[in-house]
Amino acid sequence: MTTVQIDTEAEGLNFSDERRRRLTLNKDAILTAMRAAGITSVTASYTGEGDEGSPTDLQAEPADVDLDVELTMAVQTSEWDEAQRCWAWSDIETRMTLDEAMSAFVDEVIQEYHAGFEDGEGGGGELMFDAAAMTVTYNNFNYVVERDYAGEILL
Amino acid sequence: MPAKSFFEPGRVCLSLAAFPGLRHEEAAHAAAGGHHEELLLGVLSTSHLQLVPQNFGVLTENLCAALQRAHPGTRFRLHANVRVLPRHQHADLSGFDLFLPWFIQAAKVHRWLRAEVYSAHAGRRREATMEQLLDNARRAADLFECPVAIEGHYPSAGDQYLVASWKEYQQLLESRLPFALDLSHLHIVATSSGRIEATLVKEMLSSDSCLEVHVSTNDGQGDQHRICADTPWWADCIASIHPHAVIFSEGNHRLGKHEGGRHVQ
Repeated sequence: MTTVQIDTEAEGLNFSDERRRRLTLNKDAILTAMRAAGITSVTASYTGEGDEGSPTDLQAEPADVDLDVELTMAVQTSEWDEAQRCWAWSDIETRMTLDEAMSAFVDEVIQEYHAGFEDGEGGGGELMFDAAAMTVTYNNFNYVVERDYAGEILL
Repeated sequence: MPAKSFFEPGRVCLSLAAFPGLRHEEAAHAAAGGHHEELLLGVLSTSHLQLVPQNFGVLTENLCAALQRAHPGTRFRLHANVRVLPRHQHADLSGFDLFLPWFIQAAKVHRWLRAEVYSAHAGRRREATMEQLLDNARRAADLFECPVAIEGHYPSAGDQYLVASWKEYQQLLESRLPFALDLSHLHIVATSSGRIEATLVKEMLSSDSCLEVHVSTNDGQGDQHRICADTPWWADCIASIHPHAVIFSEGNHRLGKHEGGRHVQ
């Protein structure tokens, strides 16, 4: 199990510079939008197995709040540069709803920390967006098969 | 001691499941940008590339066009619940009605890619019976206007997946519907059941309904997507593979360098 405080200013998180910058921007945008909408916290969880991941499930506190509020997120986009024969990456500002924003944020965190979580026995993770503390905490897990051996028998 | 390669160079293509966690275009670039070779599968080809759920980003019309410009010699195809919408969906053939908007979008992406085949997981028993699954696959084929290959699963806790036993694989063959056969899934079926149905496996591989063969290895417990390093039991069956079936390596090449895979930039 890996537990990570998503503090993108911290050293040693191994984010690419672009991803670090984008996650910082997007974390602030999400938490600020949550505060403005009166949302205390949101737990975003995902699971996967059998080569497939499930959609991100969002549980907000208070439970009856509207996650349809819009905000601006930095979204990575690519263009194929025919002359250079390479992909040119950039971030564009995109309006989206809070639930879409959180799903996009979760996807980027998975890419960084939990690539291939759908393989093997599968796994999952949880991100806790805390608007009061202005923090996001991430925790992930992988399922394992445990064998309960009966003990060796000499026949 | 590992055996020599079972296939002619280039007979096996790369699934982009080889690069989990990357965006689709990054994974395609990683596939095309280096020399990929596995001890048992030989030099891997990018003549066909499979876009998969393990990769990120939404497959928009612009991205599909860019992928084809970037890789003009590659035929792309979709696999399973690859990301085609901003919110990820757990869309399997079992849930064709439940996830119809996802399937409609996937069919659009399929056409943007000019793909010839779509393969999808059979899915979960709580969403469909075996009969309903087969009917859903026929309806999906109408929507995609191409063969839709059903990929079977393996035994799991709670027996949640359809096509997860030798008996159900036999039913799939007898349906005469197109299918994708994942040999690593069959290894889990064999381990769990305690027997290898080699005749059935050969029959399935040689069938003209077999449109894709997926290859990786595991410990018989879970679908770990390891690169094949030791000769598996199904090595005796691969001579039967239908010449028109596209073979995809699904071994994880981001971890694979210690397991019999080689990647040279």
